[in-house]
Amino acid sequence: MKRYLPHALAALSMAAFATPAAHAGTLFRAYLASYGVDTNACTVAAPCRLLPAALNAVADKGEIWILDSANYNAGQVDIAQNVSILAIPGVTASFVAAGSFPAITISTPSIKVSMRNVVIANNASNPGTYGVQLNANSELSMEECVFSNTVFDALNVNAGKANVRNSMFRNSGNFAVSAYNGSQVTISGSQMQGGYGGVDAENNAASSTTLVSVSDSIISGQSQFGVHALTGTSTSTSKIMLARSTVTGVGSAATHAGLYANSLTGAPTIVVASSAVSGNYINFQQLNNGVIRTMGNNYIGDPVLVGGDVGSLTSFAPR
Amino acid sequence: MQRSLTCVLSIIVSSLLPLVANAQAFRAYVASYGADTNPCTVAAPCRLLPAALNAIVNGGEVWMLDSANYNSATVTISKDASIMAVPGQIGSIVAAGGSPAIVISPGFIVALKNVSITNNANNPGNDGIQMTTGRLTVQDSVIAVVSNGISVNGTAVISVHNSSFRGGFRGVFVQGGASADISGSKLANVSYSLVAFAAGSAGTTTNMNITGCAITGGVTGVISAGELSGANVRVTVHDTTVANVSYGFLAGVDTGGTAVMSIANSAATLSGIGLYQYGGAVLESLGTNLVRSNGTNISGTVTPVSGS
Repeated sequence: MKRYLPHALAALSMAAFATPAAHAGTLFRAYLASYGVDTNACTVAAPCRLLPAALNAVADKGEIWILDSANYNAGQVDIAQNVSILAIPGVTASFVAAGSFPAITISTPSIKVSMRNVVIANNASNPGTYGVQLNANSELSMEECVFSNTVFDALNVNAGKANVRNSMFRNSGNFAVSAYNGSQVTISGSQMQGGYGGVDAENNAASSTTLVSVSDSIISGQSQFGVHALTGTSTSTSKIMLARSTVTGVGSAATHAGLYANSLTGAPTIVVASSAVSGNYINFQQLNNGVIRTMGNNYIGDPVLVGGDVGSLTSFAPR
Repeated sequence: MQRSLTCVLSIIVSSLLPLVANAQAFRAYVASYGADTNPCTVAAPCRLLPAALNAIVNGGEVWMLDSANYNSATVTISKDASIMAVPGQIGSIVAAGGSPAIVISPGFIVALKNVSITNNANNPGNDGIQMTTGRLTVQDSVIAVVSNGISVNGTAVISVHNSSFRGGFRGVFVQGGASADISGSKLANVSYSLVAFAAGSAGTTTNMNITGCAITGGVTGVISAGELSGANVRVTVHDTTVANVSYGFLAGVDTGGTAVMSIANSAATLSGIGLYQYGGAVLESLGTNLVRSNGTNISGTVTPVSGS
């Protein structure tokens, strides 16, 4: 638990520094390119260079198209409007976390943001923190994206709903995807490889449920946890549903596990169906109030530490 | 006064330029139209991968901006690096002169995305990628070499996703305590497609997890083999199909060690032997596999295990 508190404090301090891109634009679509200039009009003929300029130029519910492969931020970008951001097919665009800040934050409630075909990376020379951080009750969709080498969580969801499809997370310093305090995250067709942990659902908010759904995805090679559920109050629930997915090669010590559900209070639950959990140092740890429910059609076996699994699995029948 | 100030600023900026040009970047770019004397920026990309690797910091990235070949000999990667060709393009790295295309020095973390690692037919190489320790991710790539596509002898952790292996001796070959995760990939006409050996050094356990792969052609689909006394190997297979090979899923102990293979929701069809166990190895089946239309469906002992 100690590991997460500094991250929360960092998130608060960064929120104070974030400069929301003021929404004043009128364009339905703004364009960015490596050859653009931020004093341009952000049109296809005269594209802008960096994401904040395009966010200023685009109307609410508008689009930003990125026309060629390059990096498109110079610092933390806070998105405060409904917007779709995509790199056109055949190129990709990066947003880099640097200077102890996230690459992208969303701290405005009731907006919808989507990103497609972008790379969220960490500046190795001047490291950042999170990749993308959702701090308000808004909706985020990320598709065909790559998250690499972030110092903290690659995708950190503190509120609202996030939907991730067909994306790759590599070597996150904390979890690839972390959901907190009643937020909801859906992950499909994605790979989470290396780093500290794969998917995390935590909840310190009373009378709420943090819900993460993972399907058709691979979680492999994390140093400590593959799927991780915690709760912090007696009425809080964290639930992770894992379907048609694989958790493998996770952990190197008796405190680690492929599936980890643990809390002295509240109800952290992991539900597993049609999946393989194998070759982890310990395949599962069910501790205290934690529950790991299995549908009976999973392969859970071949731990590195034979006999090291902790607790018991609760079976349920398919319907 | 204004003119003087401009001149002073110009001098300052000019004096800083060499520092900027020589500083290592977070990201370097290569392109077919680049030159290795360039600073490897998006506006002035380099030509070959070694120049770009020299230009980045440890943990940096190399982006390939258009489709071309980006090496002239074995590329040794001696820093943490992510290398990718941008979507719509592909970056080629060729094995030639009896040497591998890429060697990853011990302990480094490397990611490859959207690259083609092939063999120079005029001057053949051997392996695609060689490493011992560290971490490797390969995504959306093609590997077609004459020897091993990826060869690991040591405790490296590798992950291969959505990639294709064509021809050659072995697709992915791990031993010596390696841990491999291979998912969503296709292997065609590789003599021995996915191979995990209890070998390299005693006391090691080598792991391979295979999910959602399709293997066709060649001698053997998946191998978990004991080759050294005191070494162990475990292979888990899930949602994977093997067809048109001599041996589909093979778990055997040849010269020592322990070998285990566990198979769930997979298929072995149209092959000489579907499931092949020998020599004290353990071949487990979850009872959810399709093993049909082989010359011999099962040879040796298959141990049933129940789902969880």
